[in-house]
Amino acid sequence: MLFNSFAYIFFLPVVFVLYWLLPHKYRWFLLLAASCYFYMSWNPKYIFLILGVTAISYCSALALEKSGSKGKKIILLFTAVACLGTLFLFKYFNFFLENLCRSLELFSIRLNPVTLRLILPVGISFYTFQALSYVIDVYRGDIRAERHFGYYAAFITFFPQLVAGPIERTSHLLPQIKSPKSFEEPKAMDGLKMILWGYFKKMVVADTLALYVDKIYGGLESYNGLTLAIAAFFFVLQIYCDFSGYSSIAIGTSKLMGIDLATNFASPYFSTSIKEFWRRWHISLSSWFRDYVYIPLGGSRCRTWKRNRNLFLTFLLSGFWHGADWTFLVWGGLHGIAQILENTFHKPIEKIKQHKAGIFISWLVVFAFWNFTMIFFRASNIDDALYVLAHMLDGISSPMEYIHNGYYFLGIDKFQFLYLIFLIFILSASDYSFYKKCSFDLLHTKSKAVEWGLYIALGVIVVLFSQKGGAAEFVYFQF
Amino acid sequence: MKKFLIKILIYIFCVGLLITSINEWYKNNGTDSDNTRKFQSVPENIQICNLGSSHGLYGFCYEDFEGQYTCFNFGMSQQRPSYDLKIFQNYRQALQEGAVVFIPISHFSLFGISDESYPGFESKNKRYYKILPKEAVKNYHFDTALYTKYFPVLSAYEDIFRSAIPLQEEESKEWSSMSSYIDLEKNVLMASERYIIAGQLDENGGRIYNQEEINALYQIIELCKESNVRPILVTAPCLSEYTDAVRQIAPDFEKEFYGLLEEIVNRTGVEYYDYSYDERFAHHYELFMDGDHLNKDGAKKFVRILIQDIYE
Repeated sequence: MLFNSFAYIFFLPVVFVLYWLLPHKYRWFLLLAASCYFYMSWNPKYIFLILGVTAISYCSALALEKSGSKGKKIILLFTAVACLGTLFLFKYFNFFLENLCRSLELFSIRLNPVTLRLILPVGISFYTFQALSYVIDVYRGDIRAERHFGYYAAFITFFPQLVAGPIERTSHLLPQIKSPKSFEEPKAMDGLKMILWGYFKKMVVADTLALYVDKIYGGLESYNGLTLAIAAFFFVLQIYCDFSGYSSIAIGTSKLMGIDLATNFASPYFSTSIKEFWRRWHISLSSWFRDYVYIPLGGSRCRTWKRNRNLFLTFLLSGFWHGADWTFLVWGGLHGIAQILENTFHKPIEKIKQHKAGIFISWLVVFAFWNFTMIFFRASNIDDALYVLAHMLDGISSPMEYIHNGYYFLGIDKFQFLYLIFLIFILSASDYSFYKKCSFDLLHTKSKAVEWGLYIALGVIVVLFSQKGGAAEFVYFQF
Repeated sequence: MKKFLIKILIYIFCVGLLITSINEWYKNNGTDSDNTRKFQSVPENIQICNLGSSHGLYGFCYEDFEGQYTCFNFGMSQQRPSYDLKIFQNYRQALQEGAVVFIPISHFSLFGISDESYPGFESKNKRYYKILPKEAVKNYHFDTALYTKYFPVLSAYEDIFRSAIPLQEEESKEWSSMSSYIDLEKNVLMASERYIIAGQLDENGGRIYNQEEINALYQIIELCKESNVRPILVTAPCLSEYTDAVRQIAPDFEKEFYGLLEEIVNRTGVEYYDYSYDERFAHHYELFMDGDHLNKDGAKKFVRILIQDIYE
């Protein structure tokens, strides 16, 4: 069941009404049942997988509290193997085997690899990390193990964030599921506004841009020059709107039930440094890698070469988390290198940023770098990514022709072009206001009539301009 | 909670009201990019009409005969005989007894893979929701009907802006243009490749005869006879560059094409007029917008010649 489907439009109000009608002690059961139903709408079989991960992590946490230090390590190791092993099997097995065979071929050893034809369970990368973080927190003594299986299962399977995050920390979400609460209209209204905004970003902006991106990336050899650069830029906007749109809907849905999820995006495209970017982009994942990979490796409290090593490895793993392909490894590696360089040249960079022009240049460099790395992220393979990079400047020696051809081969007329500019303008303006101050708060200070008018207009725009003819999947579902 | 639910209902009502209003405006003022608006005003007692694909849509212009005959152009781009049949079945009551029905036969009409297998079929198919009953629409889905027939504004997107800003439509500009303004060599090669190769050959390189479309053509001819109207098969004029390109791409194609038409003519006794090599058009760029599509001037001339020929 996708957030942008008719099924969800019926599902959510039913869950919402039942949730507030039920006494608190039964709400966990409703959340769990609704979440299981939500997950099974993709593939009923895989409910056993998520319940299995839930059961293993639940039992492991309880066992951890009763064990001595040696036993704790064994239990933690077992849980990590179980959770990550499941992830490995479904997501990385074929990739490793394929590359192992290719490597052996260099030594003239030929193997017939067994390919597992397993459909990647939706959300597996997210809930395995969430379960793992719970067990690690219990191991560290940061939290107590949850004894009520129902509450814990409701926490792991919580449907708004189940399939594409935010990856929630136990200390943040579980107490909210457990604590009794009464309906708060302002929170519910904020939730609805976030859902509406999420639909705008996903169904109007992301799905519209996807039409062009998919067309061009689906037949790269037919395009060159500015068309490729535009496709790369469109993808940067598409993935942001797709993923942050999803997060907005997830967070808004939770607010309807009085639950606050972690912010996952904070206007990342206005960042003026790579470090700032990663504090604003997919915050739940980057903080997960910081707390469970970077810091345990030693973090920044060690010698420079070790710190750089830790940074590079963390980003490499973060890239690999996104998918079993060399393109994601390259993407992650590039970000690791960028962070290392930024740390190395920290002082001159800060000096440049003391002036407004310097801030603008920093923003431009960061945004251009992100555009560059996302070429690898989107391409099907390294060859395609290199093709885009090699050919995106074809014809630039004749600027007018370069611009004309870029626009012509994109296959859009002037109205479509203006429409896209209009969408990008709305997106940029709202994100910038969020960057400076939360946009929803901003609207709240204006008159009720203006606020209602703006949200009615947004609703009309979503209904009229959302791409229809079948709900389009969210990009991050593939991870 | 009650107050919250009431606010939601008011919100939904306001959004719904606005969308319904915009929808009503769009139904009457939207651009007619799919050429379906003409079906809202099909005249009665039609004396001359044509079916067909883009060769029908652009190849027939009855302006010079307004007042003399009641005419109508049922042609739509990329329309094949199977949909010509459905349109004829649905609108034949508007034809006068003894009316003439021109049935343009293009190179791709009777060959190749089925309509549904072509990429972009679903997009092109949407226009038929507006002009045909649901039983006649291929792969009918209610939600598509919702977006295209009842609430067309929901699938209009940037067309809403086009409709709001009154500019000359791109299509009519093209129809008035001359072929000498385009890269004719590239155009005719692409067109002939598209018609002759793409979707028309099986994996062994053999020609795919589309039996569904051939049967549809037979049915149209049969229905015309039952309705006492006069069916006439027509191959529209082309520039010599185009027919040369067809021969270059597939030397045997013409033999197959005309062989099939001969069989249809022999079995049904239908009249067939072939203008693809007509010297009155073959070298006249001013009559074409590209290698195989007449422009408005060419369409007017073609209709004059046709009417003269059929009433001789």
